[in-house]
Amino acid sequence: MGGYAVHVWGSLGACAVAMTVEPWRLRRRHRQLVAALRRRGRGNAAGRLANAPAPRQHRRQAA
Amino acid sequence: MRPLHAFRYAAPATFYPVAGRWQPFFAGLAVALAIAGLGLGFFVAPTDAQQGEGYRIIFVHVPASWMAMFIYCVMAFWAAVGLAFRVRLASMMASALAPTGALFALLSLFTGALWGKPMWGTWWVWDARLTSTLILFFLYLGFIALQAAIDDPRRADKAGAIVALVGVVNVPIIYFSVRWWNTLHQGASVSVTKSASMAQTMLWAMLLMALAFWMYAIAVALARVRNILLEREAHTEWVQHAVA
Amino acid sequence: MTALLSVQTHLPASSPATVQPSTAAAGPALVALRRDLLLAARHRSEVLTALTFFVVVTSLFPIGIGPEPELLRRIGPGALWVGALLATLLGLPRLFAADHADGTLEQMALSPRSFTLQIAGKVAAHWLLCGLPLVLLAPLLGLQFGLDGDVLGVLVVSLLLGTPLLSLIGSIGAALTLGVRGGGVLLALLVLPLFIPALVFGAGAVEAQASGLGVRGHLSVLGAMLVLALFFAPWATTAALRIAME
Repeated sequence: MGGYAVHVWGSLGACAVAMTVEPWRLRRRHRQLVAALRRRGRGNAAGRLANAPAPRQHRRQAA
Repeated sequence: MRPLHAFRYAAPATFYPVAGRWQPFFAGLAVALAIAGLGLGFFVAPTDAQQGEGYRIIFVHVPASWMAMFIYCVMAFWAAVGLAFRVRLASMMASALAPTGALFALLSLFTGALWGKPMWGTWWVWDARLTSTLILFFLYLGFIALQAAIDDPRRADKAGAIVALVGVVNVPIIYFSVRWWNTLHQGASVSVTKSASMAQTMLWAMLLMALAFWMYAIAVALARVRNILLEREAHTEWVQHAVA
Repeated sequence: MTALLSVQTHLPASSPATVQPSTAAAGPALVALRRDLLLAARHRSEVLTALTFFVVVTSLFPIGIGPEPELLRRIGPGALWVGALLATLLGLPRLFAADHADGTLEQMALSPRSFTLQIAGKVAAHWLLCGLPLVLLAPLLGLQFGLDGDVLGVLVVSLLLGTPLLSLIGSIGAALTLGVRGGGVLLALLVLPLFIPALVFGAGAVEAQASGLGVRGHLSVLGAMLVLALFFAPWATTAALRIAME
């Protein structure tokens, strides 16, 4: 890359990392939400205390 | 019949599965376009006469900048629809787009800095486009922070809409102010974005990458809005059916 | 408890200090303006706070950057403008907070008089109390930066056009963050990017004068932005306030 390898691959790398992490985090959040909702749906009160953050009525950014 | 169709999809219960089905399609499209764009940009496009090989950063830098700007406008549009017609889903869509837009703005800044170092010797150049992108990034952060700080979802939707609308009106003003400021301070000679006439292949590669980023943004926004729907509609029946 | 305290510090509606509703179109604005000025007169320290802040902040620049006269003359316009920006920002949270806390804001919204005009009056009061003092003090501080007389003149004009613009834009932010967690910092994050065009053209005008170039262009743009803000900002602020009070 004519000496600019770090910069070019660094840029590509940053984009690749960002655009992999974002969907991954979204998918993980999705799984957490579905799991929590299922637990709640089964009327399992203990489920609300489980590790996965339960969906709350108030504002939360699904990052 | 058309308007009825559109409003049908505005119902969360209808939209959720539809979004779920379309999302992989956009994701796949994004990957395909990215492969095409990067292939064209790195293997076909010639070496630049002035900038050597390092110029190839533009194949991610410029698309990221375009998307950061474009997403803000789309976000403002949906926020306006949500505010004016009280369509909750539209407001949720605006909220879903914001983090991705902010991410593209950040990537634009980061890749812009990486481009500046070999070309002009500094990690940051206060040219018009980079500075405007920085301010755009702040506008995104303001929108996200305000919505995060307000507990009531409906108030957050509407307040965010005002921020987005005031922001979108100000973006051209800010851009022209910064351009003006830049020319005053003779920064034009070190513009990151100024380029001599581009070879056709370079342009095509950039366009393909821009489209790839666009498809990516749609896919991610659909995923995020589905999460938002699950969170905000948790108490409804359709959600229980959807996750069962 | 807060309500009790508010009663002591805020005028009841039937106080002789309030003006009878006039039939003039600007009536509600003038009423609100007078009320805010009267209230501020009882808490003069608040006005002085913004002024003192302006002085302190602008003093930080030479201390942080260096006292060489040539350097100061270069950074003077920008530093003074940034100081004015921050001082205006400081006064914004107080624009609506007190009235919101004791319910006056809701009364204003429910009254038959135009809410937008009343808000415009409040913003005008904010400018008179926070912005105008800055305009008057700026020449003095400009001397600290070694700026010449004609440059100081342009500085005053640019701030005269700019500070109302800042108050108008800032009022939108103040309305949006009313009663929100982390209000002050959030307000800054929302409003400072929007201040940037004013900063560019305001400081730019002063610098243009200092380097012998024409200031007409800068001041015209600043004036145009002010006119735009005069028309649109109160409207946006009112919408934001209604949202905040729901």
